[in-house]
Amino acid sequence: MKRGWWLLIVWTVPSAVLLAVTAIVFSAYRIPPPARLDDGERTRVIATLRAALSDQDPPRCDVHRAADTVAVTVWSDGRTAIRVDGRGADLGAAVDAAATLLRARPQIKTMPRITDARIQVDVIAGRAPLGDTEALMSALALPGVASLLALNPGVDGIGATVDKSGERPARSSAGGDAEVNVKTALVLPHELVMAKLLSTKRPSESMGDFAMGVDLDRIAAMVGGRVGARVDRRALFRFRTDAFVEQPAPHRDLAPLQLYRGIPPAPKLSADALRTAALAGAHYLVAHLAPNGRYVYEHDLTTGVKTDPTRPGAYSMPRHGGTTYFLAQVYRITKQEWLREPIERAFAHLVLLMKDGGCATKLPDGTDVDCVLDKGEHDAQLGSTALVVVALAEYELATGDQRYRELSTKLANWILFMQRPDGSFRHLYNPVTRVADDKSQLLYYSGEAALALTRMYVVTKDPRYVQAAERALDWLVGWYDFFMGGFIFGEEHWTCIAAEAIYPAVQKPAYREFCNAYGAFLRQQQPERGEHPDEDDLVGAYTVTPFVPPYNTPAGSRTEAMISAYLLGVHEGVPDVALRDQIVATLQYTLGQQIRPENDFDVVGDADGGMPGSPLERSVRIDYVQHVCSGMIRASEWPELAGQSH
Amino acid sequence: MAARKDLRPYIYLGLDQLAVIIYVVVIVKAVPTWMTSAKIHLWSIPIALQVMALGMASVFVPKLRKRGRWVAIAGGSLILLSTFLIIVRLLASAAFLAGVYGAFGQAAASGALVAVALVIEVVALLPIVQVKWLMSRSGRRVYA
Repeated sequence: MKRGWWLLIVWTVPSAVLLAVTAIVFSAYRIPPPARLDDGERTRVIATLRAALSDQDPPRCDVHRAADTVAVTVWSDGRTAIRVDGRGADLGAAVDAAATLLRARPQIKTMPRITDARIQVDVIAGRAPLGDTEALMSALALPGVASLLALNPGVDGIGATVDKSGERPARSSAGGDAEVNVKTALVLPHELVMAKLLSTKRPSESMGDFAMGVDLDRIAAMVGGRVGARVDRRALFRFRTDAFVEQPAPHRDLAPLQLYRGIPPAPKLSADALRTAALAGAHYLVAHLAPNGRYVYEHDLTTGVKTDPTRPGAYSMPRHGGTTYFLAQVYRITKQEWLREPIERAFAHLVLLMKDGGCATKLPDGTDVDCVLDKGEHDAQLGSTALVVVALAEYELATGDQRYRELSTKLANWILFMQRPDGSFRHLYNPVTRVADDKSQLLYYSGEAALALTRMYVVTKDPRYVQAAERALDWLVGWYDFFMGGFIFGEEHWTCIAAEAIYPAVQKPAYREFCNAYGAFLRQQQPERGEHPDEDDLVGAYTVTPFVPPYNTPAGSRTEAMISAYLLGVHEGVPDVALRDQIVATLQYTLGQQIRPENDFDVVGDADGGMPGSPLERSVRIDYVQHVCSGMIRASEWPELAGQSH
Repeated sequence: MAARKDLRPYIYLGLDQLAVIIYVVVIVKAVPTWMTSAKIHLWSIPIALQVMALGMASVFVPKLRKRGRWVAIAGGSLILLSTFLIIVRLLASAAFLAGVYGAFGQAAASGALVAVALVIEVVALLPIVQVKWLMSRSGRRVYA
């Protein structure tokens, strides 16, 4: 063969092979998004099923679409009360079959408040193999890709079609006995979320706390439980659904709500919507504040289990302070009187803790200081005291009531004591030895302390606070003064909130430039609509690749910071339009994430107004609500941030 | 004037042996993997490189030179094949994720491209240059 031919082969064949591998693998595992049912079709499907649930003769479903399986879930008090799968020649026939099965269930005669129950329908719209179960893909893919990242969480379900032995049945074109003896079981996307099987695997022993990726063994066991046999992993497949749910009982005249990743469309962004959502968040927190002034720290939405505020256990004093700060902030802006007593109750708990904490002392110069220490804590943490000061200052700003001034002054004195001459802070303090730890540095605390000093200046006008806050901000911003510092950022949301709060007492363009750059850095993590076509529901969130579900807390805390960054620009006459759009996108996203009557069908216990950890982590912690709703209430005061005319 | 001695076989031999040591240390210390296929794949690189080094070392034994050259070419070709397979695996993984998640994302795509570029630079560059030289007239002459 001539040299020219060899050259041609060398330059083209490898590329052609790589292209072919890419195309074949992509098409083998792709499930195209379903053509979703329109309002009228969803209404007709639900009408048939609702009649069956009401023990009436169901009208035949006349939606003749190409789908042979529907899964029907009846939700009652946040729990699955009934689950049936209907199969038929087309969608209408499958719905009729499901209606027949539903009507045959004895629960429909005994279920209390059956009109309040809500019917969810998942139309099975496409199937594909699981990467981990195909030998070639399992061998070819990089470690963990085909197993840990085997499905799109909250969007994909997993099913199995097995014979009596639990094996994948041999394909039979003739049907007959081979098909009679097979069983199919479906675990729906939301069932995988509720079973907490989507982020459980620990890819590395050296990072024990880091869990990501699906647990296919346990999912296989779950599917096996449904078919009544041990299921071989090779029998599993992925499927995608067009899901929708009935409206809450008072709104049944409206079309059923489309669901994506288990969540219906978000309310339209507006100042009113933001204010309503922030107040709902405040309602949630007040309802989760115990008589002793301690919050119910966490509420599991799937089980309804809540942490007990009367018992020692997982709790965070910085979050107690931050949450109370948010309530005071809502009170300052909305003047809703029902907020005042709970805020004072949360403060009373702090006063009690401080009496028992033994932190109060006099410095050598005679200054009285005190700090916040939770029960059982040996070291006082700067963040706990800082956020309590922020909350107390916010309360004073909201009410004009100075009853906590002496307390906040002692706490602020302690923060000043913890500051080094260069503006940085020591983060831990031993109240027994009276020694501050000069080595430990913890996330967030320096920014929180800067904000505390800033807010103390705003309420007292004492120049000591503004000078100390300026030194703190100079240190925080100046820390990035090295080459790589222009490319990376840590969690600097408190820094930017403090930088805006100190304006106009301190006016430094460097603070605005820093916060604008931080915003630009964060925008790199914010996907635009259409960028990840299957994940448009996550537009506005801060994501790390399409494979890691985003958490809602960063969406909230970063929005708080971006609002401050934007306002710094407004104050200095150079508002950053990109920041504004970034804020608007995140606020729209978080409005959709909040628990409200439209989407509380799968919530156990009263959690309306709560903010889950993520679309997949169905529990509410107090700081999730605090951060997200604080951004909402602040943005509600600025029409351009609430998606209105700019 | 006597022809200058060609130093390239000795330089390549030294580079091959150094690379073998580096790969072994990196595989043992830095990239432990529990996956058998990945283990085989990773270890194929220093093993094939050692084969190539042995072939190059035949420059010291005149009667083995001809055979040694082919051994070195075979070792180098194995590394190139292994590199190609790494790229196939990277692309298959990316295509799989794009299929499941609907997109691969800019960050992940950039990461994959950087990974491919690094693999070519770190693993494939030495055997490419070396096999090219061994196939050339001067390579044949040295190993005649």
